[in-house]
Amino acid sequence: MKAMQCKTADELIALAKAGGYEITKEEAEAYMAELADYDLDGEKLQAIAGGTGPYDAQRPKRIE
Amino acid sequence: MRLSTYEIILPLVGADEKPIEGYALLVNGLYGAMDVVPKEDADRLQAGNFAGLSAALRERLMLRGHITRKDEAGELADLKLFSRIYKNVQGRMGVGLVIMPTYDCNFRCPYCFEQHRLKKGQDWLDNTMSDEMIEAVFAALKDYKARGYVVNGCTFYGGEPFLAKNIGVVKKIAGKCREMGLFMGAVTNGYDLEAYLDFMEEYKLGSIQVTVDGTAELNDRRRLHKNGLPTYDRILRNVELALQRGVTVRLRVNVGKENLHGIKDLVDDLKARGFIAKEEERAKEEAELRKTDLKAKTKRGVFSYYFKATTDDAHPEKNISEQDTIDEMMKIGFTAEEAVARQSQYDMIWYRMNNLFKKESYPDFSPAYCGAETGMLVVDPFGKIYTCWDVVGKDDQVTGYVQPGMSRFLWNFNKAKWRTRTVDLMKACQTCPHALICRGGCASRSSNAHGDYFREFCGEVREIFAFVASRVAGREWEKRCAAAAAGEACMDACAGELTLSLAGPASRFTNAERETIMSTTSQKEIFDIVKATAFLPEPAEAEK
Repeated sequence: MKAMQCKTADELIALAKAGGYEITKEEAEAYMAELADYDLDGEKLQAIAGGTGPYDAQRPKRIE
Repeated sequence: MRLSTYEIILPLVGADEKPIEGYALLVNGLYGAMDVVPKEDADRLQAGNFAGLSAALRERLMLRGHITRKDEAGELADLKLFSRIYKNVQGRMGVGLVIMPTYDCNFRCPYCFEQHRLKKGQDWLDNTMSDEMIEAVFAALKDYKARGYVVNGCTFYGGEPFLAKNIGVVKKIAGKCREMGLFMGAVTNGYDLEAYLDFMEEYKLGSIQVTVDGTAELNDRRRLHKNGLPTYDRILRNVELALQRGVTVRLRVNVGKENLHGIKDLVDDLKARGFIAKEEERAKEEAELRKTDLKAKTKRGVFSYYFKATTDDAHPEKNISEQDTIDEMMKIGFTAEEAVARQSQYDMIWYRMNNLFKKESYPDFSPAYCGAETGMLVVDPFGKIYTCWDVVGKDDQVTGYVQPGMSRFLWNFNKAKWRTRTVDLMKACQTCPHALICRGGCASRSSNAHGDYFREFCGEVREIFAFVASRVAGREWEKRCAAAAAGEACMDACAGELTLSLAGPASRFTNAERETIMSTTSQKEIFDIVKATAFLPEPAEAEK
């Protein structure tokens, strides 16, 4: 829950380190992104190719 | 000038399975450019003899990224740029929802990757998702939607999600899905499906994946009922009943050494039971209906089947390669195209490339292998969340949780580790020509091979890509040559350009814009830059 209160990736990195957990800057940013809203129009973006690969975010991958 | 670090040069193979002499396929794995060039020019490229190319060809290949003035670090910077755009724009927009009503299963398949959960005993397995947990999950999903994320569908998964005894809890979950307008599908062994026929019709279940591993006894040894009961006939009978109720059925066949040579018998039996002929009739009927209504559907569901090499990590000596399944299918009479269409590791590349040849969209630039790295959300009966359905039940891979009384999902740092398992950040992938083709490979397979989910897994991707790309491009080239011979097209300098290239859009970013993209965490800021440079196509107008 404390992680959710961090305002920046650096704060999160420091909090994690204090708890004995090492995270990279990219991981910290990715974690903070999970807590944030999605600001773009997802419905419109879904239709844009160039970003939809065989495994897109809308569907789980086929069972391997 | 140098040949791109990400360049792949392949032969062309025609529809007759013979090499197309005199030509070669250039694939730039970073920018997605695919070009057919004379073989002698491909040889010149490999030798670094750029001066030996015609001026027009040299210019075209430079513009498209096959030849570059950038050094390795400069090209890597483009890979990182594309990856950052994807991860912040497309890669974050949606949730791939998977719900597990239970971990219990009535089968004991010897190669199951969830065998670890059996150690917890039947009392634990008997647990199903409680009413309170269902409420919490859907409250959290509504929160997700309210925060701007796209939630389109739900896949039922297990264990076995469709056990007859659990239809009550499945209906409750499906009811919530229906309230949210979610498309529903399931991965099921199909054994108890008869109990779910009315349910599937009432709740308009879109599709199911069912597995059989050969005919009769061969299947029954691998798709093993926990009480030793035969399963094959009952599964296929249920598949037919589901198709009659309008459910799309994708029949999967897990193939190992034991059943590789049973593929022919299975295909013959599917024909004898009428699945193939009925699907052909259904497809014809649908084509007829769609002459007047583009979205028309037949009453009968769509039937298809595909093969996948099993990965039985407890008994690797029983495994085969993906190419073995292709070879076996071609041996029993399938053409290469037909075999590829029925092999899950091959058909996606075939489909993707054929789409790219239309030049209506830029090549894919996702740096993530699958939904596990981009937003898959697998919720188990206890509210534990995983991002990969191969690791359910493994407590060290839980990425978050939801509990009754909560109205949002809570994440731990594992979530961030999975989100950053992308080719721009994995050292071994960063300068690999196949980086944006294989995208780092399967995390679960990486764990089995290297003991680490967060490493690359290459598997057979190079061989699979070479097999498919040579043939898809070969057929496209033959088509273009035939059109030119018939006077319907001309073989001008652009005839060999099979796809668009991201090299052009990438060149439109200013240094300042690149710096902003690489440093900001604002999706809007990144998207505004990307839009201004026309890096992404405009969405098509919605059909009226």
